[in-house]
Amino acid sequence: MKPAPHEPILDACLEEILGGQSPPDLSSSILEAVAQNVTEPAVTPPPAPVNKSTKERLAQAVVQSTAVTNNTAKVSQAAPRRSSEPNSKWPQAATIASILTIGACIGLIALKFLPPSNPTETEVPLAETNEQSPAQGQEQQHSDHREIKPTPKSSAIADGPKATSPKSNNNQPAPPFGSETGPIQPAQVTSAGDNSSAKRIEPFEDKTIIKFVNHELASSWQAASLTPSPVATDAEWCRRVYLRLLGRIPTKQELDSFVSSKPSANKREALVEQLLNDEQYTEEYARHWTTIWTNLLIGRRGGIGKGDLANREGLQDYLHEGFQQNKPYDQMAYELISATGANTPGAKGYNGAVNFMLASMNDQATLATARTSRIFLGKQLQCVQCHKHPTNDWAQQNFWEMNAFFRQLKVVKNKKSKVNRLVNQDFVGKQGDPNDAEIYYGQPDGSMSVAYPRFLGGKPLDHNGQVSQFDRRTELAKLVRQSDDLSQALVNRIWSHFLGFGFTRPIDDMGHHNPASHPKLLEHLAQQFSAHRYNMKDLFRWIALSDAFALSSRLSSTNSLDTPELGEAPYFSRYYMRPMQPEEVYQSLLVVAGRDKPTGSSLEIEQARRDWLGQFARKMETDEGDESNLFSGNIHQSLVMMNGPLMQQATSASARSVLAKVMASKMETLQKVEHLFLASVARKPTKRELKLVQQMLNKTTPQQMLQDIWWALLNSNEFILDH
Amino acid sequence: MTTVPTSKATGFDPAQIVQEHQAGVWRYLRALGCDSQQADDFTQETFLKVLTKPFDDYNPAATAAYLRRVAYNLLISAKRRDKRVMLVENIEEVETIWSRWVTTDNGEELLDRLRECLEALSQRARGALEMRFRERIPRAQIAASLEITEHGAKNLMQRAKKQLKTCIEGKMS
Repeated sequence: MKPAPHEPILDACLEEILGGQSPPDLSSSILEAVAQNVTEPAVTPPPAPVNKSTKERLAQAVVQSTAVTNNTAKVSQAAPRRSSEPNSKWPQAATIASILTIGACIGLIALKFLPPSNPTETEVPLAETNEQSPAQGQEQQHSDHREIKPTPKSSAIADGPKATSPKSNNNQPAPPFGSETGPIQPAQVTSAGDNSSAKRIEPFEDKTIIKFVNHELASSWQAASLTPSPVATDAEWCRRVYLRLLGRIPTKQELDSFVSSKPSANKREALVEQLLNDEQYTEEYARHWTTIWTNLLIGRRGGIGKGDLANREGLQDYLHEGFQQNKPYDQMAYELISATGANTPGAKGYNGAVNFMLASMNDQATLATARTSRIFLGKQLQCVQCHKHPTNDWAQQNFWEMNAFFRQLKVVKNKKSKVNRLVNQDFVGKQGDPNDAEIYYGQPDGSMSVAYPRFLGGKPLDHNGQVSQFDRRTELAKLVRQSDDLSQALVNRIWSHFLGFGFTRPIDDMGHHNPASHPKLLEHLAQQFSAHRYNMKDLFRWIALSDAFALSSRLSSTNSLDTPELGEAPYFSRYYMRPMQPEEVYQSLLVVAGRDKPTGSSLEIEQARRDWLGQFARKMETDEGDESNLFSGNIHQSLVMMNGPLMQQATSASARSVLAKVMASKMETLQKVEHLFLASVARKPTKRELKLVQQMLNKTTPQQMLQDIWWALLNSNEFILDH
Repeated sequence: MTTVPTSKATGFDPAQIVQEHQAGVWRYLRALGCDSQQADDFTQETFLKVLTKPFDDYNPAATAAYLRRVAYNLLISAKRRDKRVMLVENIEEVETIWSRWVTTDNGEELLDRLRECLEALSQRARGALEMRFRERIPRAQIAASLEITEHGAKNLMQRAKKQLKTCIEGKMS
């Protein structure tokens, strides 16, 4: 039995209070080791980049430290700090360091006063490093453009993949942006169309961006001494690209068509293009991404209940149209945040986008505040509603300043028609003064504070609460649209959708307190996404055609350290296997049940889907609008999967299912088995599986055997995994 | 353009960072299951990792969180490479509670509260904890000394720790 999580903490504290195990003073040994590491590049080649100011500060610190060490030499000797494992270099390092410290001081102080003889050793900008310090994260948020070049790095470190030094990796290909199109220079910055205040970077061609992605990943693999998994088979890749782009597995016909097509350099590119832009898939594409975004914006159960202000169909209708037309993401964000109108399709003044805000309305619009910042900016503010954030810089004031943007919202309910309207109305604040419309919030100590609209980290804005003078929500939508965080948050989210893990964990809690695993990749993908006018299909294409997406999901001895499932930073050196979302399982079951082109009205189809999915999601009625997900490999999921009517239809030989067609075909029995394997898990049966098939054939009829095999395949883990 | 608010970036002073944060990192590592010698090692590794690269001491909370993150990752990586590194089983939950209980003061306030809460325990419970943590007496001997079974001694100490946890959280709220 696991101990309660507080026990280890209390044990450690009790050992300190009662047992006298207090933290030692490690200052001198740490500073000496740091100085040695910085001043002796030959010890750990290649050296970590340290800017000049860092060296100066270290020199100063070492001088102070040496003085302390001399004064406390007896203490240091009496209490050696290093154990033999895993850091046996420390005792020797301490001795060597004390000898070298004087030399280091002289050298470093000289650095301060003498100009650098070698231009390559001049100050390295913080942005060129990979591991983000808290301030680096902030610095990155500010950067509009940055030259892309490999960053020198001493070795792979524990807290994230790293780029490598061009000097130390002569075989490393030059970064594609630099080699083909030149680095992104300020000269390439042009003004953006809609965002007059924002700067725009020149868009690069798709292939250049994909090359850059691959280069960054390859660098991180090399730095971490990882060899990626081999490339996935065409069938594996085809299955996953259908799942990621359309939310279902391919039909056997689609799979055959791709696998049997002539091998060529752009074979995979052609399929991605087909799924994104071919008319036959437009509807499915829009449905899939509508589902994803509806769940993200209002949850799986939002807009369905009797008392819900939002109308789920309304939001789906709005999103569906947007994805059909490939609406730019920044426009979608703008519309969702600033929308006014009626929530129900067909009602006068209908605007489906209002359903996001309506589903996020509560007493003080706190849910709208938290959701807007989390979904569109990748910032989790919900905690700071009540207290200062423990690990980042957000304070209560930030939450309530963002919240002040939502105070002009008003819901007009019509009980008769059941149509809800979202309108803006003048906000006068507690004092009743529309020119100074403030809000108040309680601080943990019981005192009250005042807040006015102010974007995260932005400038103070107009205090006026009159809509005609200052439409606060529209202003917020503009600010979100102009924010660099908008594209970074979306890139992180979509990367996670395609590859199983984002650059940060969780994907919607970004900032210097939670450094990205591949900061440069994230930043430049976000810049290019913005440069491509927030075209989501472009972003999908870049990731779907990247090397990471093309790798096998099999873990090998060469990349066994790439295990983000265990809490480490992802390297994307293999395709991370993951369970399908319930919607993906549902759509895939429809495919194998032969019901992927169902008859009936769209309402009936949607209702059937909702009924099936409703078995797995429950509202938790929390302030954050959380939901429980029962589709998590538990007994409930297994029972529904094994015994549900959809599974019965899929495994029935009397319907129009894949099984029925196979059984009625003139194929040989083993060919039929192979067909079923390919149709469900996109691979042929193994020798061992064929042997089992033979054993089954000895005991039962071929028809019965096929039914059993099919049932087992559809209820296997392999079927419900994206691999 | 988005900027992080209340910017107080001050560059960094390695000696000051080490002085200010080493106790917090060390205690954090102890809470995650390191013995004191391992905590020494990983504390040094953590600062070495952080200070050999460009770094700005943005503010104490951010720096403390960053150091904890680096220490945590080092520990996980070391555990995966070396089976001898012992960590608590539910490390993520422990990490979460630590982050809730300790922010910028290196855990000093937590220790103060724990000292106060220890006073509120029954004499018997406090005695059991003192035998366990001060005198390092095996549980069987503690049980014998209190004239209860070994299982009873275990229960007594677990209940005492639960009481301490409630008391600490009560003081925090």
